[in-house]
Amino acid sequence: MGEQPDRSGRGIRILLAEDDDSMRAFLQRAIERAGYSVVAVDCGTAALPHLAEGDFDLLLTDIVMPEMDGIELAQRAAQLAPKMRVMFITGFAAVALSKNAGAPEGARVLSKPFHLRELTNEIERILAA
Amino acid sequence: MTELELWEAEDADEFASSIAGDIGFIIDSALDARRQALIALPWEDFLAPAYDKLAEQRRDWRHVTFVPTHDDLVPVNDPTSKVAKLAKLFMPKGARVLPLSSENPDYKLAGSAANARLQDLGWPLDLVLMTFSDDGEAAGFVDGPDLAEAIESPDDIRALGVETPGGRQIVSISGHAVAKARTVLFALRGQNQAALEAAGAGDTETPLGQVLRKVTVPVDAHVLTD
Repeated sequence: MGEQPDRSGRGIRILLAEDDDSMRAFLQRAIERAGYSVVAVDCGTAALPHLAEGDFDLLLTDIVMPEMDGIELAQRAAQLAPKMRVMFITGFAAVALSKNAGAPEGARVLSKPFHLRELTNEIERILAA
Repeated sequence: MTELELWEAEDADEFASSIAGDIGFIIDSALDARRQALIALPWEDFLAPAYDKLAEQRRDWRHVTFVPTHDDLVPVNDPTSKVAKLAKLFMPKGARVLPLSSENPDYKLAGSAANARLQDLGWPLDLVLMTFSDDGEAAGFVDGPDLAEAIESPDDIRALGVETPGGRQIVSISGHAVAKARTVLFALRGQNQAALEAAGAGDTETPLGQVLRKVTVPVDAHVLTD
């Protein structure tokens, strides 16, 4: 799949927050291979400056991370970049989907697929929605 | 024809991260879906750094079960025991590591015993990671008198004993176990990439080619190109 320009003519940019080094590196590689531009960080607090300064189309975040978890990061993202879509890539789906969990409205929980091509398909779907 | 996707790594660290990341992703997916993960791994020295990185990942390892893809008929305290090496790495994390092999001197009986042990596990395997030799022998699928039985195993056979032409006796997961696995990965060095691509295209009768013909899911292959 090639670079997918959005309406502004730039490539789609994804902010990836995942604390495990090998998982983060592999996910970044897989998503970049699908044609997206990725900035990867290892915790929620490291994502905040990017949210403030960057122009991202999608936040793809783990939920369980040190310092600031994915739910809190998604809440901050909703304030800093309200048009950005949010996708969780972790377990605890029921928690994240719960109305009391604090996930921002419209955030989508990705039930982790077995194959990375399913992940990139899911990213395509959420960006097209 | 098998759908192959190649992940080339230019150095050993990238190779290890790529494999650990892929396996970790699959384990977490299985834990999300079923609260348990059943993973078959080969022990090869060139995979040790990847397994080290995998073991460093944070998760509830108590619901993860590992089995070797194949193992020699040796006691677990033998230095060549593959399950012992997996156990040393993952049992301290809380994972369960089940042996395939046993000290039974009859490799057929050892295979039957392994098959019986695997019957108690949730099936199918969530992942089979495979390696292969220059001769196209993949995991326990070796060119020998038991190859056809190993590859064309009936549905209820999850493991069996096999013997190589040189007389080496091993216990291996079955062809059916590989065919039904939810995901299949390969790890290989660059010089073997062409052999995998030929096998994936159905152009070879090596054990690798025969096993791959049974696989219906897309296959990721991690390739160390240096």
